[in-house]
Amino acid sequence: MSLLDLPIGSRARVMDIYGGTNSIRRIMAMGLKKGDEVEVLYKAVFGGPILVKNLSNGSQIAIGRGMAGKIIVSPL
Amino acid sequence: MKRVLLLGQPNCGKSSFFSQISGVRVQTSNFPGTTVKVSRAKVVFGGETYEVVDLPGTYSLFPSDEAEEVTLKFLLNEPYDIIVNIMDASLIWRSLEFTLELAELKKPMVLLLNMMDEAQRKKIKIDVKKLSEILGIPVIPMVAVHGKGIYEAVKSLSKARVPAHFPFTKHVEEKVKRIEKEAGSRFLAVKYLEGALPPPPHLAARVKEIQEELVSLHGIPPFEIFAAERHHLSMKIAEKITSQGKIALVPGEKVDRLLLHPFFGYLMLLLIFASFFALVFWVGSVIENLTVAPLESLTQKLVGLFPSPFTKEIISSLMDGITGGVGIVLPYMIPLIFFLSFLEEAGYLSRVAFLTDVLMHKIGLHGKAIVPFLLGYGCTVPALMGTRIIEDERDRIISALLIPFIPCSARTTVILALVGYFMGFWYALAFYFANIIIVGLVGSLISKFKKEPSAELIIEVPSYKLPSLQILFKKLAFQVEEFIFYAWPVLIAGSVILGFIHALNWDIWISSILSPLMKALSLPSGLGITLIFGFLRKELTLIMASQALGVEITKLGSILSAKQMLVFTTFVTFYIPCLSSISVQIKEFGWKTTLYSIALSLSVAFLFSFLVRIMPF
Repeated sequence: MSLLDLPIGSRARVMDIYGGTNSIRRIMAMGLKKGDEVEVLYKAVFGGPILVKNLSNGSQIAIGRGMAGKIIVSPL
Repeated sequence: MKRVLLLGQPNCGKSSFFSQISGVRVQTSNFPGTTVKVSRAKVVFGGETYEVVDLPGTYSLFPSDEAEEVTLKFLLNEPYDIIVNIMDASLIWRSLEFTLELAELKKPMVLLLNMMDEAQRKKIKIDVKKLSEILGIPVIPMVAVHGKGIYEAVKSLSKARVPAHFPFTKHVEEKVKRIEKEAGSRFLAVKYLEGALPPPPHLAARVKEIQEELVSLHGIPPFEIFAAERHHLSMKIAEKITSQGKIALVPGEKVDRLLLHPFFGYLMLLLIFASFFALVFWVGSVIENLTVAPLESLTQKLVGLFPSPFTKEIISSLMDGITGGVGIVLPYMIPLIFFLSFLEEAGYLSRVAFLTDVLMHKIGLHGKAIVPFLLGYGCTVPALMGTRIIEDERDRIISALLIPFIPCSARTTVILALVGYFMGFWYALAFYFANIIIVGLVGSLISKFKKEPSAELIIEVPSYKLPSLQILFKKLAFQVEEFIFYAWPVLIAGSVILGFIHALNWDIWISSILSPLMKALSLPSGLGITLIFGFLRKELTLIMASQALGVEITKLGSILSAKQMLVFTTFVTFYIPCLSSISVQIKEFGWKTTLYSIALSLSVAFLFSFLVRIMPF
């Protein structure tokens, strides 16, 4: 399952990140990596981005839905 | 003199530190990547002179937008002596990866742990001494906004050391070693293998070969291998020096429950901006009356001193230029810049990007682009520069075409004076609303032609901070100064030139050239000439309109009907970017985009002002 499938408030571990190398690099540089624990904080309406908090380092990143669908997670 | 480079990830408080040590006006921001300019300052300390260079914030040394590229290019091509790495201590687990990347440069380095108060609030304990031992460089705790640790930080410059060596996993390290010599340095070798830099021709084949080896071993692209290596190394360090594995509640998370709420979040967004613009409208007109009226009566007195009508004309237009500048800066520009800087520094603008991402997608952009658009309400020039934070070239060009349609403070004075003053507040508000809708329509039309999908929003949402007044004022001073020294003289000169033209009766033939256009819009042909000067600077339009029609601004209502004012304001708002915007467009985007922009804005201006003309009301 991907980040998209997680309900707000749930936690999961990042298993894999797909997508264009540019997007992957940006996400990783902002501190979201395989193995990190994340919590879905907010989902913007009408298919807007998702705000996740990385529990492993405290950073918060907003990710567009398309990209969020390429982040594979396993719920905790 | 020693050259010191300030490097850090966006939002680490780098520019706060810089303005603390330099006292120089520098633009800082809590929105990732707004510092695109390189600022410098001289600092004298302990008998040594340092030239401190503030480089744009970057998440890594593998650039993904122009601001980040500036930093890498500087590191590679310019001489320097000391690297000062500033990090947000509350994000130490992530930020250490960047520190390790900088350590690969093998240059004397100092690490400044900024925002220690924030880290404390998050209950993160950092063993500063141990971190310094492990890295082999001075590490200084600091709260830059409050000036804590600044002295120690500057003092530590003389103790900068080349950091310890942090080898990658054995087989990765061995591959770096293989080309290290030919590459010239370990740093370059890693950059070539990562794919961040194209290798020189004589190394290309070997780099490719090693990259293929790495991929077949790990099954992931080279840049991910190196990122994972640094991640692993920094986790090992973090475990030794921090006493907490999980984060406490981030301050401001409760605020976000309201501000990012799927319904109330948007309501708050609208409320915040609507109440701000309403405030500017009312307060601005009060300030304008207080400042502009005395200046106008002074003009009257001055004009009375000169006998010849020619001199009278020149003096009066000179004073009009000065008055016009005051009428823009004090009531409109200062509040707007102050307000936007406040939201930016506080961390709200990234939330705005999050909330508006969906809407921005409708015009083929993503949420991050909202920031240059908002800046556009202040002045088009910084807004166009601000597009550098957008990663995608296609998105940047769309923004460059749309931003000139956003009414800047100069055009705001026209809108408020003509539509607001003569027709009422609600008409002015409706005008802004209609403007947004037109920008949306034009944007979705452009994105139909530029079909490639827009890049996805990926943006850091930093925790809220209370902005320091010092930085807000510095930022304000910086932008107002640019207006005063760059724009105001042109405004005054333009006004004087028009005075000449008027006194010499040349305006008749200029107006006659533009009279077909004026006829089509059923405007007095005398207004034609104002469009020429509106091109020089938009803020000239109003003064010119009053000059051309021969009445004071407040009495324009006796010559123009309400509808004519609306038609004229619509045309002026959309018709062409001003001269300084065009020069920035050429510099940033090239001739082709600029010509497109001019053609587009002329057609949009004509179309919509004509529509207003034939509208029955």
